[in-house]
Amino acid sequence: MLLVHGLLREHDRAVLDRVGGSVHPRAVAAAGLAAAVSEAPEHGLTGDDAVAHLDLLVALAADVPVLPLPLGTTAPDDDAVREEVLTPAADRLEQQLAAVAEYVELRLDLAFDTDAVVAEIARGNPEIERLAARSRARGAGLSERMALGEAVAELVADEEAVRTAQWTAELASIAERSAVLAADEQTRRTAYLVRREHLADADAAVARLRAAAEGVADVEYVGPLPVYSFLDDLPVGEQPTPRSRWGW
Amino acid sequence: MTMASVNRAPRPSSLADVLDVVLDKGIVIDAYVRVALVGIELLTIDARIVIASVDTYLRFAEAVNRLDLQPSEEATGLPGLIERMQEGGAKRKTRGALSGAGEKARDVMQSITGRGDDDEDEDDGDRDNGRRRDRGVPASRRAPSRS
Repeated sequence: MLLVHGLLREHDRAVLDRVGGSVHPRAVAAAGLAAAVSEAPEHGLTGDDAVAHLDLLVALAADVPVLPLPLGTTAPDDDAVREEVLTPAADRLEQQLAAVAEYVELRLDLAFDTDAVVAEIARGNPEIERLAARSRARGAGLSERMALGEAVAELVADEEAVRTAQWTAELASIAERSAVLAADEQTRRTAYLVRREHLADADAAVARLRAAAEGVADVEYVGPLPVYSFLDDLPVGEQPTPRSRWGW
Repeated sequence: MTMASVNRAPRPSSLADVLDVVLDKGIVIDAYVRVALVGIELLTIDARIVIASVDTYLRFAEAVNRLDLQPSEEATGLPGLIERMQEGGAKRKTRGALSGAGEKARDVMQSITGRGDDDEDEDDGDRDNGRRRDRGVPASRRAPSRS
């Protein structure tokens, strides 16, 4: 049983001999494409296998265009990879590899200090003050506290969305695509499709973002990753002038 | 300018976030079988547990009440706290968060003022406790006119 990690252009297959890590991939090639495969462990996949899978794809994406496959994608043998994975969809896969060739994905996790956000939005807000007083009044119970918390949660979400948009505006302007991947009451995860040659610009933008967010949110900045979040919305053909299509 | 110190990580720091990247994302091939993921499904479910709204709301309510908001004016730390202490017992009773420093402040104020009238004492510097007030917390009584 083979694990199929990612797909490359066949003429990039030599990169598999250069990557380190614990996966030890090899290439199975057909129709101008190559699949990075390794032997599937008999015991099933663990967390370490997940990390090794991503490390391999990150190492490949640093040098060549790569299409990542979901963790745990398998094929029974080399022939199945050629006949069921590469050949039937060769045209589409070639187009997608060409489309991601100039790009990598960057991700930002903003982990907000919600106490700081709550303090900022609650002070001077008459409605919150009223609900807070009501929740503390004699005879108040769970429903009054819930009403207060719900109102605060809504304001927290709005505030964090505004802050995120402000802080990431510069990075979004550098990126070709931007997306909000997840948002809860504490964390906002965003992704950016960035041209490889603009990586330094993105780094500089994130350095400024970190300074702006200091004390309010912790920033985790990850990349360059293979393009994961924009596979269904890749730029078509050459874009002479990268433009942001920011919007949330 | 070098940006090598921007702290860009090659991959997410936690396993849960790694799984969030690799588990269901990427190119889906029609003819594929997913190999068993030992322990990962459970781990992922744990990582993706959404904090129940009730817990979130109560946590935010608690955070607000820790702020000890007072309607239509900003809390100004200990001087503001002391001012409120003088405003009357009934209002004070509704403010459950007042404890520790607040109680201490009230004790101090009672020991300093110790009387019901509060209109003439600014000109009444030769009272017994006037000197102690001037040395201790005069700003608390003058704060409204200054701000």
